[in-house]
Amino acid sequence: LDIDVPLAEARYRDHEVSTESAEFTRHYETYRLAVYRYLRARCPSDEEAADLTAAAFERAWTARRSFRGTSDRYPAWLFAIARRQAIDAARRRHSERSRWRRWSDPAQVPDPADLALMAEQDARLTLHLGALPDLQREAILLRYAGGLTAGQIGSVIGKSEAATQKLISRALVTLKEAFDGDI
Amino acid sequence: MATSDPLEARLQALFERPLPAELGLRIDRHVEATLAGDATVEPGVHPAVERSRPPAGIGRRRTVVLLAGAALVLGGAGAIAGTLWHGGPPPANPALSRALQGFRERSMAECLSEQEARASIASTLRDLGVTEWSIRTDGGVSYPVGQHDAYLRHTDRGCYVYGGNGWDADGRPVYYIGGPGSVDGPGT
Repeated sequence: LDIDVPLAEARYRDHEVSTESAEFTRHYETYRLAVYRYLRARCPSDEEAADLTAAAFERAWTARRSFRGTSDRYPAWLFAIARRQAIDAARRRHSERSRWRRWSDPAQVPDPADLALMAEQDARLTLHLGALPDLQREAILLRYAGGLTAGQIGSVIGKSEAATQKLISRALVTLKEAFDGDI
Repeated sequence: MATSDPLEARLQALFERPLPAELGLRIDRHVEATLAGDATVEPGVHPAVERSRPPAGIGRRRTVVLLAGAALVLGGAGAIAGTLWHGGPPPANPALSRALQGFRERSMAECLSEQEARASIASTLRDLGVTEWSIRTDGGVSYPVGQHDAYLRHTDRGCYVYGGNGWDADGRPVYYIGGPGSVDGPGT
């Protein structure tokens, strides 16, 4: 232990990791609940959503130096990571599409136990969400579960802000028509 | 994201799920471990590093990083020149650790008011010769595995439970107690 580290270098190293850590902690505190809600909307259980939330933030920390941009772009970057976690998890359990398909397929009767837990309108809304095209549903989840703006959602799903706004608008029109003014 | 559109309001409400407290803690611990395990020097850990330097003969000119539960001393060009500790900082006072564990169990078994909990910790610390500490209610909470609901019922009655310890920005020990509202219950 007789190798000296220059004091300036040591201070720089400590400063760098402390600053990154403090900034990451701020992002974590800001987006923890939103990321969880988004993942919960895509997962079959609270536990899996929590585990994916933890994994998403771990990935965000390890990949932090690949983030380029101002802090207003951070949510889109973070939710893109969370979305990838959800997609990979669904691939592992092969159930996400079938879950939504089960809700949307008239031939499939939803589990009465699932429906009993929801208010009637929530149950109907969930059914209609299941019937939306995948990308429209994704935009709706990022918007209302994740709280992202159209521009941020566009960054996550690879569309322009205008195209994303159209996706959301179409989805809302479809849902309103499905409710036939009864909401 | 407030909205006056009934459909959008219904969508927001549909997804407004609470994060169960025990799952929130699970995420927090995972993220804390991630930060601690990736060569980070956390503000709360600095004092532990600084306290460990003199007994180990590690001067302040050497950089110490935390990696995978070990505090490593760096040498030239970032090479690892030694280990300050492994598996967490050495307990400063094993008798104190035992006493606090005993108090943690007692505070779950009995209903201690905030004043009683503070007085009990203060008495323990004084008896063991600990100086320059503070007791706070805005920090960590803890409860035995599987007793989350019991913890909530206990603290909702106004009882305070020992939550753990840490350091303040100046390196002085802080002891935390949790009481009513220290953990959001399901659905709140």
